[in-house]
Amino acid sequence: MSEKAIIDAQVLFYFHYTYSKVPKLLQTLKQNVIEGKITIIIPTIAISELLWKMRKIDKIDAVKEAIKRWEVSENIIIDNFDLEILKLMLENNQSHELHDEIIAMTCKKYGTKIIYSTDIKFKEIFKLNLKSWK
Amino acid sequence: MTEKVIQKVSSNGRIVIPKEWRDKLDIDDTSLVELELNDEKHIIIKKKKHPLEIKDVLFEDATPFTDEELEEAKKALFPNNK
Repeated sequence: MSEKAIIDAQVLFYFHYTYSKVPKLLQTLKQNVIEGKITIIIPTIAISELLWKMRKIDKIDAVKEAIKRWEVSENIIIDNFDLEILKLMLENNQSHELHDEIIAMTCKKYGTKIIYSTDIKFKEIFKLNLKSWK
Repeated sequence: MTEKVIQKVSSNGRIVIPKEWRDKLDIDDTSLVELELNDEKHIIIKKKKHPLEIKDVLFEDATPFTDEELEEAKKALFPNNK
């Protein structure tokens, strides 16, 4: 069974950006997903943030196409925010900042501590294994 | 132009993809291939391509997603969150 990791909206963006401009850590991550060495979990909340950005520049079709690809990709799981995560939130006392809490509890749902993000709060508050490219 | 080779199948059903074809399709020992059996009893072998390998760059015209933008996006989702 391959390793699992949660990714945030910035990673989603970089997966479909000019490869040479993508941080090395994320180039490796992408390759590992392709080769089945890691399974990534995309919280739907991260997709909504990407949508927020792409709407501003009228690139909705690109988001539609990206979602289509993720849906049929091996080693990519799109996680819908659900009751299981909500129940984990009920037991959580680390932070009640809803966005970060949902992402951190998504990690818990999948039994992983690995998160690809630059947000230090995931490490400091939720004690996750932060894989940051900064 | 269609290229063809004739091969003997091994006792456990293995065949070899010719080296020249492997090179042409960039198939190595980490690649996956998809075997399809159709109604005409033809077996079609295709290199399996992960959707992340598709070369077109969907977000090419955009600028990278900055930390500041991400904060704004979070606020758009949860405006009253601290």
